[in-house]
Amino acid sequence: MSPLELPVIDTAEKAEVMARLDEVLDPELDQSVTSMGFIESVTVEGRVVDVAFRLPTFWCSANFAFLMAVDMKAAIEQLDWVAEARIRLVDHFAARKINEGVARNARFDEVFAGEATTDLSEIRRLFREKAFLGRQAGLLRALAAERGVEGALALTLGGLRELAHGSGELRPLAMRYLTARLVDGGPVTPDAPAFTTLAGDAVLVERYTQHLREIRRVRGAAEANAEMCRMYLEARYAGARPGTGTILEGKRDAHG
Amino acid sequence: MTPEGDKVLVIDGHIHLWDARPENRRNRYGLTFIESFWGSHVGMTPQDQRWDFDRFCWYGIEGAAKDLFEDGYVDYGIMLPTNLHDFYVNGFNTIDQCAAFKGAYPDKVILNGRFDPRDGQRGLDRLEAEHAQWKFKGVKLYTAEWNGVSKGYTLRDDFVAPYVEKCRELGIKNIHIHKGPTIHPLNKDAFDVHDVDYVATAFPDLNFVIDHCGMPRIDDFCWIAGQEPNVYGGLALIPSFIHARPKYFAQMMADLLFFLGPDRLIFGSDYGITSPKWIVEKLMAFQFTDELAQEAGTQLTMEVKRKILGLNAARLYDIEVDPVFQIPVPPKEDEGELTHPVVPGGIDVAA
Repeated sequence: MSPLELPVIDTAEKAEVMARLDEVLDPELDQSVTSMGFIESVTVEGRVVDVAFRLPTFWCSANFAFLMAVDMKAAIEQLDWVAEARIRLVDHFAARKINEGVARNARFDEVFAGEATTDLSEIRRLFREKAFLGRQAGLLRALAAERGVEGALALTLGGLRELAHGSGELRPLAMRYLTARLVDGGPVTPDAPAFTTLAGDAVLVERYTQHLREIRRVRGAAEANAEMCRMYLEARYAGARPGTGTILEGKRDAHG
Repeated sequence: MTPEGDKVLVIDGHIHLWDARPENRRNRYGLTFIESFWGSHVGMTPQDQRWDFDRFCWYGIEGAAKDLFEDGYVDYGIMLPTNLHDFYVNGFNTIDQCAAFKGAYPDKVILNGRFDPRDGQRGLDRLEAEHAQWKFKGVKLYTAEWNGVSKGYTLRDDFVAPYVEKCRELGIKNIHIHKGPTIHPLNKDAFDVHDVDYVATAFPDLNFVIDHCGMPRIDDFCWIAGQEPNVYGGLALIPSFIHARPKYFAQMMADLLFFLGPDRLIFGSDYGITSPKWIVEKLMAFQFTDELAQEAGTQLTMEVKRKILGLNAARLYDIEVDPVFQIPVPPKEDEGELTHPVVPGGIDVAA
């Protein structure tokens, strides 16, 4: 199987764009669009950036695709030399609607009027909360292995911040969790507990096993979903490509 | 038959006989739809067991019989029809298409019905007529399927209950619900599994088999199913991870076993996405690490495998099980001989 083709990054501008895209997450998977292999190409012409992105199947969720496109556009347009970011979803049943809608900063329920009745803030919140739990599971488990359960659960938000900015092995996990914890999980004073439920209650030692099981379920599901997406994406773009419907016919925008 | 000489009953709880040949494709959606399935086939199937694309689009009755019964260790296959007339001229995997397979292999094929609760009285009448012909023991629902202006429905919708009541009346006790990767997911969260909770509580005497275990919402599914004794996990898709991503297969199985236990999981290969052959072989050989076995509350023992691969589905579908397939019961200390008691149609001999 040929490897998945990734965008060619040969200029400083493109590298800056990719760095911004590294921060854009697939909300469902809580992994970046770059690490998932979703970015197909990046082109820079003057102050206009064009990003083509692809998904594992023609039928992937339009709502998540829309959210990622919106987030990519916003992330890239934060670069001060960028006047416009054009985001192009390719090989997807809703590509045209999504691309046009995102370009004119329309809302999801405007773009899909008659098909979708809700805006996406609710789904964004739902998956942000799942990400909070998933990230917590990763850090809590690693920290408990290092310090024991009691030691891990005694961590304060101040302590979490030190871990996140420190030089230890846990730094990436701590940083990921910190960014989620600052939004969800209750008070954020330095002496507040680092490990909390979504309702903001400290996780208690006697509830540790049960709590970890509950949140690992969430994390495990997101990870398995991400692996499924990777397998499908690779099969679609690096594999044999019976590909009669998309790339080989050159009909990318026919339905899009 | 295992290397140790144990005979294991295999019921594939999730098979199709589809037609995605170019002449049957109504539009480009027909092509892109089968291409998405192809991605799953290529992504998950060991390289030396992959089919070519044309064969994947159409394998026919004899192809299916070879893949399932000859090569794939399958004793019985449960067919789950899907219409998709919007994409395919004669449908994708309709009851009629599946019935031809049933006609050719009546003793091995279990034919389930299907209905779309948005079809009103017409649909109820058709279900009754089809049941009169085929005596369904199960039906398949596809909540994300398009129907006219509707782009899907939930099991909470008020038009669903009359259909489920009709199933009770007809004695159809297994309701399979597709909760997995969907075709045109648009609204809020098309993968949402919370409506299962509602219908399972409302109909405690029916069994609800959630196909694909709600994946990509398997975490929510585990939570809901853990609380509803009449909810089953239709595994199709989960065991397919066993080759390309064994670690994630193991994690998902551990969660499913912890929350649902070994008696409420139904094996499925999702044929023709891939063959049951390699999945059954790898599943029979698979073991959890000690740590994961502790998480799951059980190792993947021979007993657990027997239940998942066949005995659970046999119970739901009233399939008589030959004693050689049953879980052997160790002799009680005060009994001098080895006994293999069999509860008619049941499997709880170890209880």
